[in-house]
Amino acid sequence: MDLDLPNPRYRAAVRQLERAVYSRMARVPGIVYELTTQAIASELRELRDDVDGALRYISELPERQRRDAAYEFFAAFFDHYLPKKFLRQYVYGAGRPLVLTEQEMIDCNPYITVLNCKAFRDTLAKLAPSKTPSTTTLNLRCPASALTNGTLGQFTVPMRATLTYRAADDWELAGKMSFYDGWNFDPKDFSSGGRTTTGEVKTRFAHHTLPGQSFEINSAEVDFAQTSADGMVVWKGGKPVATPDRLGKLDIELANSG
Amino acid sequence: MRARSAVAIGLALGSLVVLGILISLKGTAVPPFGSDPQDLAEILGANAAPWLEGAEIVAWQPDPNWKAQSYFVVRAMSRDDFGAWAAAVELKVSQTPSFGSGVFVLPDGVTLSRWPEKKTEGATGLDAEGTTASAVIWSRWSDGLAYTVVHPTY
Repeated sequence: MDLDLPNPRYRAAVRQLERAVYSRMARVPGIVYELTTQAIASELRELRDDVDGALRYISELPERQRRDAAYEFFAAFFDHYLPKKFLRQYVYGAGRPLVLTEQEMIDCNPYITVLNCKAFRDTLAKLAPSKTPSTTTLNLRCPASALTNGTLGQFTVPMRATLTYRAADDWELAGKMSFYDGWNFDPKDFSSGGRTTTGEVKTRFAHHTLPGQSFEINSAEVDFAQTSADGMVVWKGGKPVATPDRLGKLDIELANSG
Repeated sequence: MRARSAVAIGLALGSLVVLGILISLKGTAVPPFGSDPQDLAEILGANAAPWLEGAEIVAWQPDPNWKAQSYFVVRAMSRDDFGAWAAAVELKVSQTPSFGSGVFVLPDGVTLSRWPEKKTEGATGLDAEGTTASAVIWSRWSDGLAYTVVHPTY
């Protein structure tokens, strides 16, 4: 809006008017959005006894409302900050990758042991017949699991490390490790996929109802070591502590109540 | 307002989902949490089943969304029986220690009544290890007891 007014006082007044109009216009989408969200909440309350109907209703919402409603719905399952961060990335990140800091790696509560790494076991088996000490540089990709629900689940640990081998029951692996995961809600086979029935049900529920896009997670590289006497890797993160989501806590309470 | 409404939607739907899952689980009689010995029998195969009878078995399942990370088994058996057990699960037996004591470290919270503090007596006993399609297995025999650790490979 440019009226080309010669008097500066008029120009100042017009600018004030501009700002007032624009600020009201800028609020319009928000006001409409709030009204829409209230309508959605009201509609969902009507459908409280009809889960299928409620999910169908969410799936038929306009894109923005659908994403917001679904994100808030799924985030409500978690107390921990990391699952919420990953959910947000899944829903709004358009597939962009994330890089975990060392603290975020620790907060995933990973259980990592090189004993679960086939390539490492093969290396030990190959060295066993020689019966002579040796030093070998290894690049490994070990399977691992995160005990903070809603974070990495089963993921991969790339390792660059040196194996000091003295005997089959006397070795040390030390070097750098990082985390890698493709974050999504891919359904797996109920019997062979590794998830419990509840875990698989939750995953499939999210797969079918949460709009979003898979993304890759990498991390910082951190020091680690594991010897033949260790049950898991030794690193700054210490021993993992199981951190269940809200449904998981309920599962545990039910199991403990017999 | 928007956030409050959305959270309300989430919580309302969350409670419905919990209810739905619990009802579905009740209907199929699947335990919501905990891996029972039957899971281990399925992982190790039919040949292993007789060797699990009378054994003390503990599953380490720290995450209710995932099946057990490992199983720990201790069972009394003779040296000859250990060879038969190893053959049943297709483990390679060695008269010298073939793996470190780290294999036998129990996770925090896991206890077995006959599991020793450290299993380093491989030199006086037998070691057996191997992999199946669905697990990595380490087993050590010493003084009439077989200690076995199973890591499922899902």
